[in-house]
Amino acid sequence: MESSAYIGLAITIFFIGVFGMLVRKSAFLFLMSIELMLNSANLAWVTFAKVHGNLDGHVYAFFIMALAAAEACVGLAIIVLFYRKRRSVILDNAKEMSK
Amino acid sequence: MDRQSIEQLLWVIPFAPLIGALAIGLLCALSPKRGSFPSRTVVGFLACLGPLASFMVAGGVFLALGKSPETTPVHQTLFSWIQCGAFSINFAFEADRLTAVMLMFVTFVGTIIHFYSIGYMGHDKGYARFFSYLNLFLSAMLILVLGSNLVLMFLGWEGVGLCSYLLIAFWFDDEAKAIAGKKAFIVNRIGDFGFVLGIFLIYTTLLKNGPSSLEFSFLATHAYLLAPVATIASLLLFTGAMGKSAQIPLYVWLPDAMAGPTPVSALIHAATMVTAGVFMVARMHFLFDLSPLSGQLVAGVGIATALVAALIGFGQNDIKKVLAYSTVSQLGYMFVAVGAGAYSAGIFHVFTHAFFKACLFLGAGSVIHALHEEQDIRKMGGLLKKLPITGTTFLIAWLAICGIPPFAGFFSKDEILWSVFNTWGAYGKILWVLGLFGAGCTAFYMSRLVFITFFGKNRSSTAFEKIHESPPIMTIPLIILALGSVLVGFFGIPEALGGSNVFASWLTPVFGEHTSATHSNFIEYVVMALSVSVAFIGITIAYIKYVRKPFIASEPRGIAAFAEAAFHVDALYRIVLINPLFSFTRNILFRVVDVAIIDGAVNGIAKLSSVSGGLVRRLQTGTVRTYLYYFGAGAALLMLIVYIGKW
Amino acid sequence: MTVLFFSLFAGIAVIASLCMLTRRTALGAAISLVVCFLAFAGLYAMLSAPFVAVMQVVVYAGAIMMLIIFVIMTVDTEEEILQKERGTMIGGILATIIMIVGICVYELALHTAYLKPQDASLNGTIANIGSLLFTRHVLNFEMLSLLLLVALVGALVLTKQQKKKTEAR
Repeated sequence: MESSAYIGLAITIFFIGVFGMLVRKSAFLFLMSIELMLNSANLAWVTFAKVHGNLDGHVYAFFIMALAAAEACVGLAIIVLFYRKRRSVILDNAKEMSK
Repeated sequence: MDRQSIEQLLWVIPFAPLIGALAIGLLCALSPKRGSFPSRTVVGFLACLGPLASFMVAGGVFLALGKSPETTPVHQTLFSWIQCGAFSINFAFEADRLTAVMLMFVTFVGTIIHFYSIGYMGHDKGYARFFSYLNLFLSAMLILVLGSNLVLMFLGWEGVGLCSYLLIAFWFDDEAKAIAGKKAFIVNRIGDFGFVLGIFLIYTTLLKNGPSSLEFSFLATHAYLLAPVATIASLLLFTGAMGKSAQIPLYVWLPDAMAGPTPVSALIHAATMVTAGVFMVARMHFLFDLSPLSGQLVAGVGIATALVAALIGFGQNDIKKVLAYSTVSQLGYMFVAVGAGAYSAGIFHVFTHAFFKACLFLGAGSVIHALHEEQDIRKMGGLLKKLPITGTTFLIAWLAICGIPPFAGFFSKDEILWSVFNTWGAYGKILWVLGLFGAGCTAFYMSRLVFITFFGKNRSSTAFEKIHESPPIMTIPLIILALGSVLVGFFGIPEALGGSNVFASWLTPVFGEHTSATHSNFIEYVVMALSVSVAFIGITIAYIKYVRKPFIASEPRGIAAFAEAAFHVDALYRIVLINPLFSFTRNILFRVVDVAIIDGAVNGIAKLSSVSGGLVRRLQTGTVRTYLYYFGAGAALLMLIVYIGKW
Repeated sequence: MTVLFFSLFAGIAVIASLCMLTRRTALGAAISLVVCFLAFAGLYAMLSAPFVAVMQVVVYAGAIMMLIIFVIMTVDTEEEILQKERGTMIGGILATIIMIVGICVYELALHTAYLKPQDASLNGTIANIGSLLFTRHVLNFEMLSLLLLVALVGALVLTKQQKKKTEAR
C-alpha cells in the first residue's frame, strides 16, 4: 500500500479534528477533537517510521499516547471544575474575558 | 606663627563655623524634646566657638602675610573636587592680602554679631536653628572669600544666597517674611545666572588658547587672553555682583530683607553677603582693568544706586529700612570706587562700612528690643537718655557714615570721591559731583533718623520709664563696633593729610600701583573740605527740620510720599516684569504649551489607544472558538506563505 | 489484499470521525471516537507496528476513552444545540475541504521525495521498541513518567472539593 495514502488519511482526519474544534460547543467534543488530531499525528509518525525503516517513530507515537493520557486527565479535571461552577459544559458560556 | 603652619590651618577658617552649624543642627535634631536639650547656653557657646576660631586663624593669616617678605598668597589644596576630562577643580583655599583683609573683618564682625545674638535672640523659640543658620552663613561667606577658584567662590556665593533666604524667612510663619525671603532668593538667582554665564565664558575663552583653569592665580596671569571678551565677561560677572550687592536694578530684595531678625540684617549688611559683590569685582580686577567701558558702567550703576537709595531713604519711617537703603547707597559708592579702578578704596569702604553699619544695625536692634519690637521711628524719640550706651554708639556710627572726620567713614568715602575725581576727566567729575550730592543726602537722612529716634520727646507706646538699656551681652559688642568705627579709618589716612595710607599700600601687591593723575595737595584739600561741608549741610538741614521744630508725625505728601513708597519700584517691577511674566506663563506656557501641546499630546495618545482598543476589542469575543478561528486562519495564512515561497 | 484492508479501516476511521462531529450527545460522539480509534489500531497493525496497535487499543480506546465516557456520565450533560449559523458552518466545511485537498495535492502529488519505498524489514515488536525505549530514549521516558505524575496531581488539585476551607470558616 502506498505511504501517501496513509499520509492523506492522516491529513484528512487531522482536519476533521480541526473542524470539530471549530464547530462544536461542548467541552467534551473539544477534548475528543484534540484526541482525534493527536491520533492523526500518530498515524503520520508510524507511516514515516515504516518509510524510513526507523523505529523511533513508534517510540514517539507511544510518547504521544502518554501525553494524550496526561492531557485528557487534566482536561477532564478542568471540565469537571467548569461544570461545577456553571452547571454546563458549553464553552461559549465562558465569556468573561470579553467584559 | 610661621607660614607653613598657617597654610596647614587655612581650612579651619571656613570649616569651624560649618562644624558649629552641623553640631548645633544635629544636637537640635537629636534632642528628645524640642527646645529642652540642648540648653541655650550650650548652643550659644557652640555658636560663638566656630567664628572665634575662624577669627583667630584669620588673624594668623593676616600676620603671616604681613611678616613674610614675599607676597605670594597662602595656599592650601584640600582635595580634587571636580575631575572631568581636562576640566579639574580643586577644593583649595587661597589667601592673599585682599583675602586677609576680608577675612579679618568678616570673622571679627561676624563673631561680635554672634555674641550680640545670644542676647537678642535669647527668648526666641528658634534659638538653635537661628545659630545653626548664622554659622552656616558665616561659613559660606568664608568659602566665598577663601576659594582659590571661581567655582569654589561660586559655591560660597550660592551658600550665602541660600543662608540669606533661610535667615530672612526665619520667622516663616509670618507670610510677609517668608515672601521677603523668597524675593531675596529669586532676585539673587537672576544675578547668579549672569555670574555663571560669566564663568562659562571665561573658561571657554581660555580653552581656545590652550589649557584652561579657573584658578584665580591662573586667571590673573592669563588675563590678556580674555581681552576680546573682557567687556562681556566682566559685565556678566557684574550682573552677579548686582544681585548679591544690591545694585540697581536688583537692589529690591535688600530692603525687604529687613524681615529677618536684626542680627541677620547686621550680618548681611556688614560682614557677609552684600560685600561679596564688591569683593568679587576686586578679586577679578584684572578682568575689569581690561575693559574701561565696563568700569564706567559699573561706576555709573554704582552712583545711580547711591543716589536713588539715598533719596528713598528720605521718606522711610522704619528704622531698619532707613539703614537698609543707606547700605544700598553705600554699596553704590563701593562700586563707584571699583569701577574707577580704585579697588583699594572700594575695599577700604567695605572695611569701614562693616564696622559702622554693623554698629548701626545692632544699635537699631537694641532700640527695637527696648521698645518691644517697635520699628517705626515716628513712635520713638528721646531715647538717648534712656539708652545711653546704645545711643552713644549709634551717634558715633552715625558720624562715621556721614563722613565727619576723624571717623572711619570720612577717610574711605573721601578716598572714593578723590579717586573718582581723578579718573576719566569729565565723566569722573560728573560722578564726583553726584557722589558729593549723595554724601549730603546720606548725611541728611541719617541725621533725620538719629534726630527723630534719639532726640525730642518720647512718642512710643511703651511707658518712658519702662524703657531699659539692653544687657551687656548686647551693649559690649556695640561698644567694640563703635570703637572700630572711630579707629579703623586711621588705617587709610591719605598722604595729603600726612598719613601714609597703610591700607592702600597693604593691598598694593594685589592690585598693583594705582596710578592717579598728578595732583597738588591743594585740590585734594578742597575736595575734602567740600565733602565735609556737604555732610555738615545735610546734618544742619536735618537739625533745623527735626530738632528745632518739634517733630510731628504726619501723613507724607508729594515727594515724601513717593520716597516713602520707595519710588514705587516694586510696583513698577510688578507691572513691567512680574505681571507680564506671570501672564505669559499662565496664558502661553500653561494654557498653550502645557495644556494644549503637552497635555494634548499625552491625552491624544491615550485617546488614540483607547479608540483603536475599542475597535480591536470587538475581535475579543471571549469565546474560545472565536480564538480558534483566528488561530486556524493564521496557521492557514502561514502555510500559504510557505507554499508560495516554495513555488 | 492490503488495499482492501486499508480501504476498510480508512473508511471506518473517516466515517466514525465524521459521526463524532455530528452526534448531538457527547456520549454518542465518544462511542464513535472509540470506533475510529479501533480502526486506527488496524492501520497501525498494517504498518508493521504491532506495539503501537496494541497500545492504541489498550490505552486510547480503552483507558482514555473510558475515562472520558465516565466523566461524561457523571456530568449531567445537556444536549448541545448544533450550529444554526449556516454561513459559518458551510464556510468551515469548505475551508476544511480546501485544506485537506490542497495539502494532500501539494504534499503527496508534488513533493513526494520524502515518501521513499517502504522498508519491509521494519518490525515494531515490543522487544525492539522496548530496547529503544530504555537505551536511546530513556531520559524522555523518565520525564514522561514525571509528566504523568504532574498531570495526576494537577487533576487532583483542580477537582478537589474545597471542603477544608468551608469547614475552617
